[in-house]
Amino acid sequence: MSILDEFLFPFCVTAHSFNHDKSQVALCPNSNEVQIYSRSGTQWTLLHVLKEHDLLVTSIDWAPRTNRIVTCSQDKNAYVWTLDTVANTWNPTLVHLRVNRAATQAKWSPLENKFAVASGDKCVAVCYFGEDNDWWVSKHIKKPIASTVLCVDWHPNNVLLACGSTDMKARVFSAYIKGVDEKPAASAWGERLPFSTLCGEFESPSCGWVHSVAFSPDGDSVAFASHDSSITVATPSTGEVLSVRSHYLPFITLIWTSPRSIVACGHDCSPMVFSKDGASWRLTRKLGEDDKSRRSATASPSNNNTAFNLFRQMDSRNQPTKTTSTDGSLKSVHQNTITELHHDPSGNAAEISTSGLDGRLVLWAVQA
Amino acid sequence: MAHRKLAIDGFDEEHQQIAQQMQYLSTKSGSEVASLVDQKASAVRAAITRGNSAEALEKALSEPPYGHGLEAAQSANALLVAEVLMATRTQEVNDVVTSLSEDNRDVLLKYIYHGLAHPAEFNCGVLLSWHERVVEAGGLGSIVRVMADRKSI
Repeated sequence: MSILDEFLFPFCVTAHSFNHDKSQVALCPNSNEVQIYSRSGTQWTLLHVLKEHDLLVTSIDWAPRTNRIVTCSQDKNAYVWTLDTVANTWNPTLVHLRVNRAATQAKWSPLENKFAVASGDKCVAVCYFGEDNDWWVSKHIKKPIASTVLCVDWHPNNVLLACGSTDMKARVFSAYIKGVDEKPAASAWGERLPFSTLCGEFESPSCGWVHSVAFSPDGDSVAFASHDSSITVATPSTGEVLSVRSHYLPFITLIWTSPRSIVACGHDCSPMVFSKDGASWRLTRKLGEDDKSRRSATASPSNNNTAFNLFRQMDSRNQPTKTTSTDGSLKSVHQNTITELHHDPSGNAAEISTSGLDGRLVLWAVQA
Repeated sequence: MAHRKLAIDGFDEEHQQIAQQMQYLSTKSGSEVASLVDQKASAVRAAITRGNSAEALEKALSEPPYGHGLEAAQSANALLVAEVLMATRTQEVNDVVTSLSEDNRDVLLKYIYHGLAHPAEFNCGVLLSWHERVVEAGGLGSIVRVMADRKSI
């Protein structure tokens, strides 16, 4: 559970997405722009600035194989950017979303021929490329969503879509588009599912906005993190809905790192690992807080004297040890809320990346 | 949001229905809930006089009268829980809190906050000391759950 890399940017990073081999990253510096950086050694150099949105860019997703970026923003628009290799510029294509409120999250489907955009207009827009009109068209999933949709996630079969909303529920819909998708095999969620069929609806024990939703690697379970500081895992085939109430502040993003482990992070600034042992889920690890080599390097000038300094302070100031170090910073790597957590796009299941409001972009190695 | 003078969603008929859908409605009627609280009261008081605070608290926290329009039963239940909290000896508070299930601990925290909001009727000093123990056991997450839960006591 070590930190592979840690980068500090001089702005809050509200959204990030790596390209297929992690040599470039697209970030939103809490503004209406998307900045693309490329890696040179331990630094990132700015390559492109994608300026097309009018308001805050809420989500960026970089499709690893087709190399297209979808961005969506509070200005009710989404753009698909394609790289013009000759001119070395990214060219935007407007997506006809037809929503009347801000877009909150956009994600490419596993086959990268569709993407879903969650919006405040109580709907999810599933977009695909309409060949006859030569632009991206959308179909809306509306019923029975009662409020803003905060997050979406695709099932590995490219047809099912999970979404979490501020009406306290996480739902699974079919986003089958005729002409774009092949008929999917029957799964635990149902068979012969036309577009917009509700396949499952779940709630956490104390309700709360659903901030993040994710299908398990095999697609048989869906996990969601809600604002009541809990994560819930629902498996329709066994009918069980297991919740873990955490002691920490709410999580706003989560992903599965293996069929039996989930990493969640949010307002408590550290990724937390939850594992399934036997029949229930529980918190097993907090990443980044016991990385002694890193902490001693930053906490005190003399590397090996942290323990000595600690007791000396306790003695001279007559204060019990506090949870923060003497310079006021948090013990965790991120010093502020973690905004996004992603898998490694090159398919390496043991690596994850996080971005936070403190401007850090951190790559972690999660031991299985 | 300075440009918005009208609350647009308020004019939307569909929205009113959906907002109602999101309220937590009790499955029992007002009188049923009231009688339930009364029955609990006698069992709880008996447990208090026996000196068994843990059992009294569990009974008082079981089946809380969630829902709208049940103010009488809800305040009666809140006073009942407060009785147990004040009757428990200070050395026992820690043990009682650790013996509670996660669900009951969250419900207890809801009652503690309810009591702290009405200082005229509840002994806030006692409530604060219970609050400290419950948050030690449940962490900040339990406070977040009190605030996020739609089911109001």
